[in-house]
Amino acid sequence: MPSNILVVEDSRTTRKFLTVVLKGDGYHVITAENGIEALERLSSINVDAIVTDLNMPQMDGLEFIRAIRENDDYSRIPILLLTTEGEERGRKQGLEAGATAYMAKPIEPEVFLGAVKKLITVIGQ
Amino acid sequence: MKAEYVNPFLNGTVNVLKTMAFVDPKPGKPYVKQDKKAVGDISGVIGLTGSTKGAVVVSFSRECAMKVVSSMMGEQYTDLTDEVRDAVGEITNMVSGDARRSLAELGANFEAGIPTVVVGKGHEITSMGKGPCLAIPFKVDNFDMTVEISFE
Repeated sequence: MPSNILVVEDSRTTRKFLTVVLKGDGYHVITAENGIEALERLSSINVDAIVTDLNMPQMDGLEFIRAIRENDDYSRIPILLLTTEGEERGRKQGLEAGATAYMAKPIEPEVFLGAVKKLITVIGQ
Repeated sequence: MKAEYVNPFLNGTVNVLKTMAFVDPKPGKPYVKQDKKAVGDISGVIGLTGSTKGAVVVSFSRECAMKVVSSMMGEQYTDLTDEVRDAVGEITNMVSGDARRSLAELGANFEAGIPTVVVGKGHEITSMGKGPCLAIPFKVDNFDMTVEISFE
């Protein structure tokens, strides 16, 4: 069974880019445009890892991560936070909020896939 | 504008396009630009605030935008669709981010705004501010793109 990855990203370009990269490596991908949509997706499907952007309208990455960590059903799901370079403050806040790891854009596909694999095989166990 | 502000944008552009669009942009000689008319057919614009006020514009010829975005998304685009526009905005965002990281190492800290994308031949970029504008031309294969930076 392929692992389910939830990609939460408001930019349709990056959402599509990440989806193509993940699908190319055999993952099943579920997408959402913001934290609220992502929580809706989580209520109907089990996911093995979450990849989320930091800056999003409606519910941003930090609020979303906090909501995940406060929910007993989802709190153990590993989360990779994506930030734009130069957002050191956001990264720190993300880790404090409960992100498992972070990665700065631009995203190098091989490095990204390595990070997702690590989330699932090492941290997600 | 400080000359040391140029390289972060030059290197940021090369880094972003190599990493995410798998193309190899070749930089040309930077020049001072006198007007606000964009060089390309589609431009991403981001305002920067912090150590000083400024803006960065990533402007593509129509062909260059389609080449870069097609390569990035793994599918062929033949028009400046909404998806191409979104991608140009996101590329601009990442170039700005990469450059801001390098600028911070030089002691110049900037916050970036939300990117806007403008389309059309000879469109004007009105948000470039009062400072002088420096343009860095690039070739992606045989297609043209230009990164313009302006600081007060």
